[in-house]
Formats: sequence, C-alpha cells, structure tokens
Amino acid sequence: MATSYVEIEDRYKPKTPNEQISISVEIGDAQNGAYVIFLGTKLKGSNATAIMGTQSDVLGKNSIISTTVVDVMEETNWTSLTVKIKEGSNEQVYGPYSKEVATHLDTVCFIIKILNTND
Amino acid sequence: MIDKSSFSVLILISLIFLKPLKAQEEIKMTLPSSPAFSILGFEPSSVMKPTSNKDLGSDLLSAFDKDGKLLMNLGMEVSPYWLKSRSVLTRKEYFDPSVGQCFIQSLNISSATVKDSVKGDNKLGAGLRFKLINGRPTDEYIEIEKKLNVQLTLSAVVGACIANVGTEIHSKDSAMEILMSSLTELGYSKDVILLFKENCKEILGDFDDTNEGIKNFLKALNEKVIGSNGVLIKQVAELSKKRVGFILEIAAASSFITTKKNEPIDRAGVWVNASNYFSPSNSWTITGRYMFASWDSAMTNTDIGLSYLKEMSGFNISIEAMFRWYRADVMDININNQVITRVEKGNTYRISAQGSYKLAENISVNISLGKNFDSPFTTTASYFSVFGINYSLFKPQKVDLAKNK
Repeated sequence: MATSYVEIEDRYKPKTPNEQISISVEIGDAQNGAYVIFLGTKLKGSNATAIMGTQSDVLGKNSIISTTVVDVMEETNWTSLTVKIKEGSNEQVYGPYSKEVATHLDTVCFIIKILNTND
Repeated sequence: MIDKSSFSVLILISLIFLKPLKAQEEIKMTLPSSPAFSILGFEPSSVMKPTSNKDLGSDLLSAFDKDGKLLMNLGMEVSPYWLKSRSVLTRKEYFDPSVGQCFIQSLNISSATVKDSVKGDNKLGAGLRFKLINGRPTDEYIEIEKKLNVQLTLSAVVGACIANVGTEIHSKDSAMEILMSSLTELGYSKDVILLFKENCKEILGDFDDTNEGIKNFLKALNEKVIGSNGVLIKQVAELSKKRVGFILEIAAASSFITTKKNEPIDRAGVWVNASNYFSPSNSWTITGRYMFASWDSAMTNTDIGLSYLKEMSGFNISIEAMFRWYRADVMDININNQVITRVEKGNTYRISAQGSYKLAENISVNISLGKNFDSPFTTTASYFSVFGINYSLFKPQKVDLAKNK
C-alpha cells in the first residue's frame, strides 16, 4: 500500500471586507478520505466546511487543505479532490485535482496551499 | 439430534441410493458475473480488463491479428462509467444513487471468443450486466469507515504540517508541537496522542532540522500512520461491496457463430434477480431467466425460482425451488418418412438443498441434494446428490496483449 503526495500552491483574492470566507472540500471518485483545514498553523476545521474569517483575518496567510484519500474502490484507481472557497454569494472552485494510483488500496495525500492575497 | 457419525452415514446412504445425474446441470440462482463467458459455457484463458479509455483502445486493437481477424480464447470485461475519473461522485452519492446513476455505475459489458474444438466453429459471446437498485451499506461498514476516517484525519494533520514547513515550521520540535495541539483540539484521546508521540520519537533522530529533513520526518510519520491502518483499509474496501436491503440486477447475453452466415445466433439469455438481504448473512432471491439455444434442436427455457441463503462463518446453506416452462423444436421423421418438426413442450421443476463448508482459503467441501429439471428428451429420474471438494488452483489474470506483441 504505497502513499503518494499531490502538492498544489495557488492564490485567493478576498472579494469583500466583511463577508465570512468559508472553505469546503469534496472527495470524488467515490473514494474514502478525511481532511483538515488550517489557516497557517491554526486548525479551522476537519471533515466539514470551515469558516476561515473575514478578509482581514486571512490576508497574508495560507489556507491549507490537507486531504488523505485511500483507493478503496475496486472499480477505479482514480482519486480526486475539489476545493470551494465561498465568500457571500461568490464562489471560487479549485480543481478537481486528480491522481490515478498504481495499485488498489494505495493512498494519496493532497496538500493544497492557497495564499490569501490582494496581489 | 444427528451426531457426526450418523451424519456421515446419512451422506453415504444418499450417495448410494439417490441416483446421481451423469452430468448435473449447473443451475445457479445468482446472475453470471460475466454473462458473455457464461453464455459460451467457457472461461477464457486471457481476460482483458481495461481501466481507462486508452487501455480500452489498446486492448480492442490487440484482440485482432495482423489480418484483421478476431483472436480466439480471449475475454474482455469493461465498466464504461469507470474508464475515467469521476471527480463529482462523492462516496455518499455512490452509496445512495438514483436508479439511473445505479445503472450507469454498475453497467459491466463482457465479451469473449472461443473456438468450438468439436465442430470447428468460431464463437463470439457478448453480454451485459447492471443493477437498478443496490441496497445500502451494512452497519458494520459504517462503523469501520468511521474508525478509518479518524485515522485518516490524523494523517491529514501531518499533511497540513508538511505544507507549513519553511514558512511557519522551522524545526521538528515545532512540527511536533503543532501536531499535538491540533490533535488535542480535534478531540483525540490522551492515549492516542501519547501513542502518536511515541511514533514521532521513534523516528525523530533519523532526520535533521533542515526543511528537507523536517518534510521527510513528517512523511515518514505519515507512512507509519497509514501503514498501521492497513487492516482497517482492507476491511473498508471489502465491506463496501456488501449490501443489505433490496437489490435488483439484470443481465443479458448472446453468443454467435461467426463462421456461419445463416442463423448465426447460437444461444441467448436474459436473467433478472431480485434479492432482499435482511442482514449481511440472510437473504432470499427471486430469479427469472429466459434461455434460448439453437443447436440441432431449438430449445427455449423460461425459469422462475425462489431461494433462501444463510451464510455463517465458514459455512453456508441454501434451499431453492425453480419452475420451468420448456419448448424444444426437434427435427424428426414421420411415418411417411417426411421431415417434420416435432415440438416437445411442458413444464418441470427443480428443488435442492445445498451446503458448503470452508476448510481453508481456497478449499471448500460442498454437498447438494435434490431433484433437477426433467429433460424433454429422457425419461430417467432426475434426482441428484453431489458431494465434492472445491479447490481453487488458478484464476484468470489480467493480460496486456499489447505488451506481449
């Protein structure tokens, strides 16, 4: 049972000064997995939508979405992940990020680092 | 109460006094796992199972020789839905699909070629199988999945620390501090956190405090976490295939004689199974089946049956009853020496009780007792008793024909 890593870096530009920013994760290909969401080194949530704060809370910091997915499906060796950042009525989608594992029961760790910046 | 010695005698008596069939027709209440192989009555030595569109194209091309003729003794099974990544399909939706979703997720297409060594005909079989309703996961699966997800969350925390190396984390000690505080915040028990700390200390000395060293330390820790949950992972994978509740599945297949231009259809069949699993080890099944065979006589059988299966640890028993309407169109000669078609039609039934005891992983002992269908062509009694040992030696391996060229 091998473990591989998918490390992605991206950016998010907050749209409003006062709206709460939330992050949700969807694990695709009917695979089993778990995730945590950090803002820098601070844990914001696990296995559910996380409220990150407002623009001033997140600016200059990294939103980190770390997901461990196991290929438990005999039908497919694909694993995939989609991240959605919601701010009021605005939604930005990251992914889907996909990786095909070599063998059934292998694991993929998706580590998505999104810098919150106005640049 | 029957003791062991009486039971053995009973078996011997049944073997001696019940007339065994020369060749018991294998009648199963379950759908054939590969309808194309089943309709040909043949298991190919090479079975291609493409898992991507690219593999499918490559396997299809490999099934023909340089003259464009189909190679014999080949089989292929493909699930079209799973040939590409399905990033929008969550595990929840997979376990609770609509009828349409259930159909496309479960659709499996099989095909096979075989050369009839007696008649010299080349035969091609094609079939499909799908479910319209697929029950729900068992309570045991839900429990095991929860346990696994607790462990995978631990792994995800390690992953988040990997992301912070070089920005917020500059030493192994600060990585450990963040790990421990995150686990406490997530509600992990002191015992789990203590064990995790021990795992960290075991490998701490193997890595230095450079960014590379800290990342490698965290990845090694992650491997430990995932590796220690191998049994849970296998259990989740196995249990996700077990369902309870109502299951409705359908299969169809046909075989053709490719060397025959007139009336190439050799056999055709449709199967419908409706099962209800009261629990993972208790189920009843209603089976409907239509089979047509165009041999020297054209045979049509329509079967409907009911069975009950009880699975215990290492031991299964089942009882089944099936009713058949049959029609056989036989070429014959009448009293005036004219060729006529004689029609034999009627109905018959089958009842049986079966038991299976697993001695080891690949060895099981089986017993079947009952009465088989009457044949329209013979008048002998059709009671049977079969006592046997099944030993699995080989199973067809996936073959990449393109690599073998």
